[in-house]
Amino acid sequence: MQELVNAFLIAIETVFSWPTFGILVLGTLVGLLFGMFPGLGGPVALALLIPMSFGMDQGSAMVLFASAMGGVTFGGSVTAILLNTPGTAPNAATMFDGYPMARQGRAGEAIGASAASSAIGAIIGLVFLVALIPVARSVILAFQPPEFFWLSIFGLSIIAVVSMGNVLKGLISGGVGLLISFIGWEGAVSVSRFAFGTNYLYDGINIIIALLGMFALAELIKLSTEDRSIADPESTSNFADTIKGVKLTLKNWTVVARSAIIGTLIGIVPGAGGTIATFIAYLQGQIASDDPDSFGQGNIQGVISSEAANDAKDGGALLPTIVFSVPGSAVMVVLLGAFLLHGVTPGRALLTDELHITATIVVTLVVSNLLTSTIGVLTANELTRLTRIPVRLIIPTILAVVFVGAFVLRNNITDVFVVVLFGLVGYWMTVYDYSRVALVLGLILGPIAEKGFLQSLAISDTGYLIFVTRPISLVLALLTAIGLLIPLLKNWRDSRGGLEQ
Amino acid sequence: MSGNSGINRRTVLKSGTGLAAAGVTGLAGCSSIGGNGGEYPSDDITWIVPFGAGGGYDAYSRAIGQYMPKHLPNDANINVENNPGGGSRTGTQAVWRADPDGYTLGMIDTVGNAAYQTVIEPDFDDYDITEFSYFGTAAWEPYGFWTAWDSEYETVEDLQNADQIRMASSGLGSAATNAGVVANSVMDIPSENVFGYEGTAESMTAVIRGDADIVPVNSSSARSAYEDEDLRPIIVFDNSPIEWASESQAAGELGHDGVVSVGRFERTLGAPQDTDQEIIDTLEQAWLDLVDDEEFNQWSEENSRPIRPKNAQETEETTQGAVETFQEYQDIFEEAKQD
Repeated sequence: MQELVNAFLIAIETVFSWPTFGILVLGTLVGLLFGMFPGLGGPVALALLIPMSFGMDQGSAMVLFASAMGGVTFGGSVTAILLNTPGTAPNAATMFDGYPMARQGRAGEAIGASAASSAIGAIIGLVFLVALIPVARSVILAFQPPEFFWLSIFGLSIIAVVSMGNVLKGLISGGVGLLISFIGWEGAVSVSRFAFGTNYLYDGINIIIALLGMFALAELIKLSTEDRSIADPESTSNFADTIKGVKLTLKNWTVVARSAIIGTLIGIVPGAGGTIATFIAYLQGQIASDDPDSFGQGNIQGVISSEAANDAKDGGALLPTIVFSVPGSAVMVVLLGAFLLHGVTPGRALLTDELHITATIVVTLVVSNLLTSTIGVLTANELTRLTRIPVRLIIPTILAVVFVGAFVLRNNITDVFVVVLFGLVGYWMTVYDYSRVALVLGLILGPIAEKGFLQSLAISDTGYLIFVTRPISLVLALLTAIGLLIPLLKNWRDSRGGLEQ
Repeated sequence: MSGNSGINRRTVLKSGTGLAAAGVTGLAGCSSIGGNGGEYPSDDITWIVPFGAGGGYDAYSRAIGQYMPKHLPNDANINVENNPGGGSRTGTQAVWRADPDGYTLGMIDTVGNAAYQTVIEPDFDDYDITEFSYFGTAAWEPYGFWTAWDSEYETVEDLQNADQIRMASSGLGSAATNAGVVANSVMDIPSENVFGYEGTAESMTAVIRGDADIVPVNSSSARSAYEDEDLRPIIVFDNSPIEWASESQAAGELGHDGVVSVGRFERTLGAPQDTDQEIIDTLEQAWLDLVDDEEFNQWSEENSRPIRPKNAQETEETTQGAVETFQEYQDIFEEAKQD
């Protein structure tokens, strides 16, 4: 306990000294900017900051990287809300309700809510994380392939809830997502599937490319047929709206807390990834809400739960990265490289003798989150103007941003063509009312589910029993069952209600 | 669309002009491509890393990019670019397809590619790993079998006598997996593969938490786990035991030379095939000068990235040797593919 406190005191001293604090602000702004542009995001921001960090001392370097990470998550939510374009993949869940709110002229409120829930989520996540540090190793090691399997199946069961209106269409979308996810090399069976011998498809379809296409590009197509601006040009917004968003977030503090804890926990599970954290948090927000049907149409709780989890997950994802060199999310991959460059070696020491380094990173994350949230609240009003610009001006610009983002992701022009393809698919889906969320879920969770399944059988001494004889697996399996029962129960309740009338 | 839609002749003309203006400005921003007829290198060099940022190949490449220019005749810049994908084949292919004028170079994983084009995907014809114009090797490292600190296995004999040994790794196509598969077969270890982990760090974690018994990993990646007392080595695929873990056995000492030949990865420095020999000689000399460079060595020490240099010819020999050894082991991989 004493060590924990000492470590954090050292960290606070480091972070709030000059010029380190200046570095923090710089990193935050860089992260914020990069987070807003799809295809850029955390990994690219960090990769660009690495050369800048040569010659910095270890503490300053850690602050630089952590602050960029903190800035990215909020930056991504701004574009998710205003333009239906998730700056980073985890911001996708913010877009589900954030963008509808923007269309209703409530963008300011959404940004305010995102800012507030990001900040509070980060703090709650931090507290939870610190509580977990003593048992971090055991928690991480407790998750083996059967748990990964159930985690992803639980995630897939979200499809049933998310498509409560039309389960068949939801299943079709999810199924297509699963099918697409199987493209490429599957290490577990050492086979390349549906890649037609190309190097491009060897790695499968990239999730950011799919998101850019299905949501951003599809939305641009849709807007071009409507010939107006994203929000009603007559709508007004002002600072009061933003504050309203902040106040509503505070009112929904239980949603924030639950989402933050979920974000941290899932962030800790190596290989789960940040996107699942926000999706599952979004789901629990929907399940626990008084008005689950309004999710996806501009319910502010959707934005709150997604963003709270989004900011908490980075703290969680830090743990497997620093203890086992297993990156908990995409941005952690680059962070690892940055660590090694500055002589920070992942291992037990970072949780014991060198805990102050970990603490420095965590403190920086929180401070930069608070910083971006403040900037967000102050500039929200100006940002919302974007939603009132006529589309014929917005579309070409965003189109360029999307295409450049797609290319910049992997320096691969084929990605741009694939974005176009997904754009058409996404537009078609909105016209015929198929759930794009379900497809995305299938796409992200398919590989994790399959890998979890195959690896579980490979390591099992008891055959299929391994899926039900482990405590964490059982809990996750039960949660899945509950998740699947909810729409059934609801249908039953509705039909009974109908009969009574 | 209604007559009031935003797309009319004026709009098209306006946007067309705008596009043209943007295009011209953009083109003006591009610097001239290729040399201006001076001595090599008379322009900036692009260095391709077929792996993502932050990893080993990336780290060595960036250090080379930073410290090698001053050893080149004209002090040209080296711009490092990451081009990951396809298990390093995307970036390697980018080097292969570049003009052989010395202005595109890359760091190439020769052993991994040797396995791929020989035994994993014999129809592979995007490039031939033996035909690149190599000018040196930056580092190489042997893999080895590591096990959990408290596991019951201490020696290769223990592994051989077990009922079943589970090996955790990424999958065929990863150099570590290839090394492990060959070693298991050659040393008669009753192994079962657990594939699908994303890289060595995850495979090591898998063994620590009990998914599997052994993991093929290179020594320096396992070092931190060794110091944390999470993993310890059983055998290293080299001719002598690990310096800082002398309890490890050595495959070479047990007579398994084939394992030593392919149980490793190499970080080689290459250019497209048929690059002018003069250019290759210049690059080779610059590399060998860099090896003695004080700043480069300081970087190496501070970052625990040992420099184990080879010249052009040694690199070619190692690459050719790996291809030939894998050809001998074709059956082993056929079997592994069917599992």
